[in-house]
Amino acid sequence: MLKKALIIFFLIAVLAPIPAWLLWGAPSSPEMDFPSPYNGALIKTDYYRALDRYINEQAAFGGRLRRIKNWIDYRLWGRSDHKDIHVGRRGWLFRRADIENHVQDRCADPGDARRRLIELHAVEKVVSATGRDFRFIVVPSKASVYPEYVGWVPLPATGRCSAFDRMREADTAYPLNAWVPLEAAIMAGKFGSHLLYDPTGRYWNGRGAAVAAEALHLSLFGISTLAPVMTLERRPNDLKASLLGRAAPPVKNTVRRVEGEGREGLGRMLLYGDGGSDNLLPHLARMAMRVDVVATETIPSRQVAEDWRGYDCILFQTTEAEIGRLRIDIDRIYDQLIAEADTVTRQAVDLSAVRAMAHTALHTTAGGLEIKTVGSRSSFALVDMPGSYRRCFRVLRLDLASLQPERMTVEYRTNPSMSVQKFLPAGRFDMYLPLPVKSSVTLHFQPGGPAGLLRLHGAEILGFVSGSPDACGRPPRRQAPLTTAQPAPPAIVQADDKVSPDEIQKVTAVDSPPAGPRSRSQAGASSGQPADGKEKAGKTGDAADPGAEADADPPAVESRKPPPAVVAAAAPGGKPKTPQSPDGPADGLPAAPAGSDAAIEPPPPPAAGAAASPAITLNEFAKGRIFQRQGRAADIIVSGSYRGVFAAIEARVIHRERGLEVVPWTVVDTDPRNGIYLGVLPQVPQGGWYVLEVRPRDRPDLSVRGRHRWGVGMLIACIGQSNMKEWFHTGNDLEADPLLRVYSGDGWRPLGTTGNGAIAFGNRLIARTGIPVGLLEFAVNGSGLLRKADWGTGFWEDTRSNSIYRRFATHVAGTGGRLEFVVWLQGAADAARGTVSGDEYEASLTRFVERQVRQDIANASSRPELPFLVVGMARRPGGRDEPHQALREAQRAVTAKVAECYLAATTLDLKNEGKQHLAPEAYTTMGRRVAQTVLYVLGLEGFYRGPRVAAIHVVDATILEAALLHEGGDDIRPSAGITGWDVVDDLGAVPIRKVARHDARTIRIVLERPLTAPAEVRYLYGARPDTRRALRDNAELSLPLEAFRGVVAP
Amino acid sequence: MLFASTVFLFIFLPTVILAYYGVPDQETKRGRNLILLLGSYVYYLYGAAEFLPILMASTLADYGLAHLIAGDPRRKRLWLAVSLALNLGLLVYFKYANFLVHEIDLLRARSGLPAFAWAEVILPIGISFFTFQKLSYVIDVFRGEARPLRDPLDFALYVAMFPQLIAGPIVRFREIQMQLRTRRESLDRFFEGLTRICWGLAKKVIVAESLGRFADAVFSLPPGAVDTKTAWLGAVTYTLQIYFDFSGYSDMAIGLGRVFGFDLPENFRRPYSAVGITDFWRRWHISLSRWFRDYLYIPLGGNRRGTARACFNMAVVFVLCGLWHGANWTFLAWGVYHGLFLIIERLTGLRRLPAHRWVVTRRVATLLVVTVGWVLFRSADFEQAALLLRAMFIWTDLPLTYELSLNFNPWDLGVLALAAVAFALPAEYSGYRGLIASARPRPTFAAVLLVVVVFPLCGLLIVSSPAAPFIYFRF
Repeated sequence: MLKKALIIFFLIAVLAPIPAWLLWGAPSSPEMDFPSPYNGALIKTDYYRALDRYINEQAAFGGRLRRIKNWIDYRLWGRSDHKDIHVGRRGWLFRRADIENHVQDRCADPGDARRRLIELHAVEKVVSATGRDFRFIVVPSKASVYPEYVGWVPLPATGRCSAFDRMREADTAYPLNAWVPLEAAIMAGKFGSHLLYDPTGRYWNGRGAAVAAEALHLSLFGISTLAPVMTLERRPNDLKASLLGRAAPPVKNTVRRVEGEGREGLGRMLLYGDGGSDNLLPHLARMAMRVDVVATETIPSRQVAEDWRGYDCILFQTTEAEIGRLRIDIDRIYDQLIAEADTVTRQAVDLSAVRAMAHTALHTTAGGLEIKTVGSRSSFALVDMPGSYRRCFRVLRLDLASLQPERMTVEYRTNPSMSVQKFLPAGRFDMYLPLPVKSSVTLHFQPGGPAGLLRLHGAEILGFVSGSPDACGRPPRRQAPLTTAQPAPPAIVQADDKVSPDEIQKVTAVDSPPAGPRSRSQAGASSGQPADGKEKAGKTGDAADPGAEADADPPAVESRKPPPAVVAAAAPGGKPKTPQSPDGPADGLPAAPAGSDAAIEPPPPPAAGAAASPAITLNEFAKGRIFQRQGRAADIIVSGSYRGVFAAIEARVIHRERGLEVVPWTVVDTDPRNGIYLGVLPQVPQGGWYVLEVRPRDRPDLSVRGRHRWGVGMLIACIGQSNMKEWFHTGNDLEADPLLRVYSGDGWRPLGTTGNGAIAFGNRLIARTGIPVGLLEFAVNGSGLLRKADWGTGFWEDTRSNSIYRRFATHVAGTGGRLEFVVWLQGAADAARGTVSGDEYEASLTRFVERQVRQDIANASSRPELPFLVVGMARRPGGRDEPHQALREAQRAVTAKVAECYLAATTLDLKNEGKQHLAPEAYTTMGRRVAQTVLYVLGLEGFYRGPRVAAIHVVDATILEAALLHEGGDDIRPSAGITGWDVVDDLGAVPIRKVARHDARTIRIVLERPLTAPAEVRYLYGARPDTRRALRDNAELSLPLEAFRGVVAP
Repeated sequence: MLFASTVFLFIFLPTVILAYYGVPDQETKRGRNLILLLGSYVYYLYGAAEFLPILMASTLADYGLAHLIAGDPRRKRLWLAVSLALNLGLLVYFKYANFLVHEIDLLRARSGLPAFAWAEVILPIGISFFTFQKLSYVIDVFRGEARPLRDPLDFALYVAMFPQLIAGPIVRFREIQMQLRTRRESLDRFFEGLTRICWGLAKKVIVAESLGRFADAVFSLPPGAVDTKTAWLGAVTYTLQIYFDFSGYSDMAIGLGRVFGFDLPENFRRPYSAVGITDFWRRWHISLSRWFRDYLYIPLGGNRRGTARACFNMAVVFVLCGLWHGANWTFLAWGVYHGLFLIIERLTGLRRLPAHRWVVTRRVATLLVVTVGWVLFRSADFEQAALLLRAMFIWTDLPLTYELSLNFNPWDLGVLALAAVAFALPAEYSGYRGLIASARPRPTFAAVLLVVVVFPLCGLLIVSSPAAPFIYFRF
């Protein structure tokens, strides 16, 4: 009997969940809707995996069972599977990042800490010089304040050496006045009668924040608060809620504003803070009239674009665990404030302090110092700058101009670990470099690109004094001008340069030049130069001195740390004078992509002992590279190295297949120096494929022709999430045009036959324009736009150094930093589970377009702004209608309000076979539709949109007519049995008897029952409208009727 | 589909049970066999849909070949060879092709030659098990020890029966031949089966999962963070984890068999109570070692041709046994390692010592040897294995890492302490099975506890955080 009972119990236990799920199933979750079977699904393991995920998700009863288990683990066993939360003693919870920081056995880089501290000094000085306040606070981690509740954790063997500890160490040497230390006050307050951190809180509570506010008040105003502000406001137990699965992790708002009381007379405060600032805000609001809080990884924020001139006090707040991620864009801050800094001293820097170190040539011109760099190992230095000291903090300002976007590493020779990466925009801009506390500072600049042309218009040292007004008055130490009697500076070309034989042209046969004295100095410095700026000694412009001996092999360069791997050229802001500092130091940034130009090194010098005969080599472009046209041509940088003495180097372009000269011989470098030449070949007409040929003007027999094909055409970025990615991977029905290339960071490769969407898109463009088209493929599966839609693969608003956006922007910079179009196909991740509202997506997409993409990527189109093409989200296999509809409408709204933003293609009617991704033929159609939009923007097509509903008319109580506006076609099909229409009134969905074509411009909708109240009429509404017989026009492209939503009254 | 998964426990299993017992019982069991077979194919489809045709086609092929072997004595060797080639060919291709191509590419790269253009082959789950099972049938027919099944459905059921399809036990045909048609279901057997299922589930979901956290944490440490105590912790917890994981699965498989009236062979018999490696292999994965004994070792001559030959045969068996577990040099090394100790025991006569002589020493030594072997088995490559073994035997002392310290909580430590009892069990302890065996007229308290408390707890754990796959699923 008992056995039987137990068997029945067992059977009930295994059978009961099914009806329970059916009755009290988990809340509908669009991301987790039942995976609809599609053709062949039953023999695909992927389908069963999706089914398994769905069942596992549903089985947890919306997470209730999971919460029960989490509670048991937490309460009974003191453990948790939550990857971000540490369970301590007596139920105390800590952020795992704090614990790892507390017990880490790996030391943070002291150089990084020093660099960060010196940047903070620079900020402090410039803010103070403008009469504003600046403060910096670090929220002590809960584990530091209450280690007794952390529980047993292994202590580090080497003692604490976190980023915070390193900064404290650095601070002792040169204290940052703006840094308000909180540890002592917090530790003193700890032993009071109240906890300063809640046992399950993420950060300090109101009391903890009050202690900090007290210290901050004292620092700002010199007095304690008049009345202790000890708010008893308790923050929710956010760690516990997260651990138990009751709440999603808190999402940082990018910006919020709190109106304050301004009791202390402080005007507006700008607070850069994270969650640790939540409880601080009430106190700050008492001090200031208004507090604007910005949550960002880089200060200032690029999305918010806050202007510091509108604030009286700037406050940086971070935590012990996050201090290592603090990024400060000194250039943007100084650009905003330096004009208002009254008390700063300025001392001009003699440009003779610039030295060419490797693969660099300097040339003084009337406009400044021209700096040519060839190869990723090129570098130049600014030597012997006076450093800062206690009473005078110095910042070096460089007035620079760059021919193209660049990413440059600046290394402090006396503090190599303090190197910083700078993004240089094309055009003129200022770069600010804080000078550390040293008597003399030498800076090494490593452009990192294959070839670069900089012009240093001027340099000066800004001095921020404290104490004696003339503390910064001593001029910088002058450099003794270089003369030919001095030892030759480091050579340009290193003897041990390793070069891929494929990428370097062999030198053609050369004659041995006559022996003679040295014809030119190896000096890289410009001082002591003749009035014409040329530093050649004994060299005439036209003919080599017959007595001149050929240049000897250059001496080896001084030993120096090899430059870090950097991307060829960065993608800073496109506007002059607004250089964007990187979001991070050298680490974490993508290295020079293989196959990019940056991977190409300048040719080696001739082997020692070889006949020193004149020769020239060419810096080849990456195979299949496409240069973005500007108008109908592009300026191409030509560079390489040479041996001998040449007055000028010229280049020409030849059509690879036809052998015809496209651009005749044109001088690109009128003054080659130091064994390298660099210049611009202007107005290379669009087309391809080309090869490049170079030669010395006075030695046409030494011409060298490149082997790699390249072209001038259109570059179009394809970004978003998986349906964008599938453009390049789904379908083998088409063959790519030979002029089509795709670039995704590892070279320019032909598409072959894979990727219906991309091939259809590219082929159509090439067919109509006849020029090469390069597609930059950087979509990321599952990526969201907003942070809260980050499901693990990143989100596009993220601008940190290792983000998907930063990777994309960096690689665009590697292609030259200019694009003609951006295609965006994304939204499903944000719509999933109704995570992002339509308003949020609209605002975010607008910011993304205007403050990220258009800031970082130069517009090479003929339109006033970089055209941004939005491809409407595809039909979903499942999911709730509202979130998808909201985001679709948000996308349309953005295209309507943001200039040069287009709704490139409707995709709701395309086949997706019940999966999230589309059928191969659907991608082909999508590609053609997007191409049509591009052609329209280029003025080569008259339309790009399909027909639209202009109005809905009520014929009678049961008949509605939709009037259509045609674009490319003039009729519609099918003529009957049309699907995709909904009519909804206050009684619910109105049954539709039939929808049919009334005439070429009218659709008639016949209802089953009369309308008695206003009703919403919708076409292709929601996540998965019925598109079995969707309407299309009769044009060649057969564009679908666009989605519509309107209201009619009976 | 894992046994310890929501879809198996709460959808598949009750559906199959209801369908099975919903079909009237027949003399030939045909209806119920058909239900089981369909359920088994659905089970395999769920986990490896693309490979179901391979399973079905190879089943059909072996069915036909067995009949040819039985019906064509003059050419039965030929048909056996065809069957061997087919089965082993499939196994080698799916299991070892990637490995072989990779190793050849490494050699070619050293010579400056380009790599082969090769698309990675996906391993069908369970192929090692059902291949051996089919070979056992064909060989038994060849030897005349069994007659080929007339009904192809019976054969298909023998090959694909879901309780043992994916990870054994490897059931030899003659062990199950009669049961295909003449088994009898009963309440007692059903109850015994379900208690065995609950027991296996508990071993997997409660014990093995917890131990796995320790082992995974250690084996994922960077080289500089592994010291002696950490290495031993990882080795011991993995030793326990693989036992509880695999034996738990076997318990479930046997229990599921019982539910449907089958008596599947035992696969484990307190292996960590072994007094030597020879004894260990009589207690660990018994079905596999018996298969190798009956179908490889004995045909090679066994120990009938002298010691040297016996040692050679043993070496061959264990090399192949190591490779059977996976296409990695560490598995091969593990097989060779065990083979070496078996040879040593044979040559030294240790294997002939009475079981009660020097028990403690022998058990400790055996445990040590086995534990070291598991380090080889678990390591991703020789480098990791060398690192851990060096740390185990050359004293170093480093602070525990934070990631490892997260497992030092009452639950995980308690489970570890409980699991360690497996090292100290008497060699022939039958305690727990006795507690839950159906021979007793009334269920024991332990059995009631298993069904009423442990099973729902396991269900909660599975539903709230799905368990990792059984370790042996990957073989």
